Amino acid sequence: MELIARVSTGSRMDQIYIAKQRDGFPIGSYVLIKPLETVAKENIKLFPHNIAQVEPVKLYIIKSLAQSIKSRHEGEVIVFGSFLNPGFRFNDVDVILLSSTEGAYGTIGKKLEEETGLKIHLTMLSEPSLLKGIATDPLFALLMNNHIATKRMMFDAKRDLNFKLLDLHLQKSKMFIENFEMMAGSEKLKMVRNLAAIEYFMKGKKFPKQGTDALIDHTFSKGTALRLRDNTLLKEEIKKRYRQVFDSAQKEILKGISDGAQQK
Amino acid sequence: MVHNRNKLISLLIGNLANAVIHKILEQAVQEENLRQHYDKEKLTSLTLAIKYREEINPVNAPLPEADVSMIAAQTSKKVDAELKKRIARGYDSLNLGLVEPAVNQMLKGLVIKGDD
Repeated sequence: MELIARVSTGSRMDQIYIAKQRDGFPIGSYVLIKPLETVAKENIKLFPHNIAQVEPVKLYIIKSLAQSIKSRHEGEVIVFGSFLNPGFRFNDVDVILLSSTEGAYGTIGKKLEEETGLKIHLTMLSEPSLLKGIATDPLFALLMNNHIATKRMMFDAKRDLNFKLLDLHLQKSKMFIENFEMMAGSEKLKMVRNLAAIEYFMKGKKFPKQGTDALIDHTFSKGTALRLRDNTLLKEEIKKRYRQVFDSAQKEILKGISDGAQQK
Repeated sequence: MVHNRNKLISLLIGNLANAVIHKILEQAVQEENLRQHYDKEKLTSLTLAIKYREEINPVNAPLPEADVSMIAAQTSKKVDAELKKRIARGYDSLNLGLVEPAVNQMLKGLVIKGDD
């Protein structure tokens, strides 16, 4: 039995009024008073996908974010990215709100930042756009492979090799070797992650359940991801294999572009 | 790691060229590129180009004309070569006319070249 009522000011004590004509709550019965947001938060269920373990404080943050977003907008909330990695080495919280309107939602993002004290990157995407992203963008597909959402997500998008798009994405990883000494560990990690995601995507391989670090370690060698993050990897240890993977990906992409052009 | 000026300029050119190539390829696939909606970060090549530029004197003023001409020419050459490689493979919708304006814009943005 639940009733919703408002706390109102009294002279000596504040009070909550409830209707005399009601079911339950007889005179003299003890009741528990709880803020309505707490009740709403408790009703938010989270559905992790390929997330083995996440710290309870992070689950609390995700529930708070989801409740805050859903109180302002209809739609399902998906949290992904480095926030879900073990530990607390993240810069911000990546959130997608599945909605019929699209774009970055700056105002609500700012409000969430004020409420949580965390940097929130909120993007609104429609479900068709999300599925299209998973089908065509290797990095997006990789990131969506590990997420926590407010609804069980069935990402049944068949990969669509758009070679021009893949070419664009591969460009982001082109200058890795030349700029190795100048880059921070996080920048190196991003370039390598991008390349590894493209390679797996083009070969139709399933991304590892364990996430980005496992993908990088499978593509290069064990421990590569951690050493990139810590910026302790030497150029000579990765240069040859990186060049191999990059050149192979580029060759396949150019062939794909050429074959696509011939078919027209 | 300390680089000499020529090496810094060479690295700057490489990154500028990559940033321009990325910009032109992006325009060719704009409608299909959903990453624009959720990719919050500046292209690393551009970030690195800025870092290299900050190591080349004069930092807060345009570079000497000889350097500007050389950087512009070599950047355009690299971009042209990459785009032509793709055009030769049948990549349509690549506009080579965008190269020079894009290079110019980058050079001005990084205070390599002064305003005309």
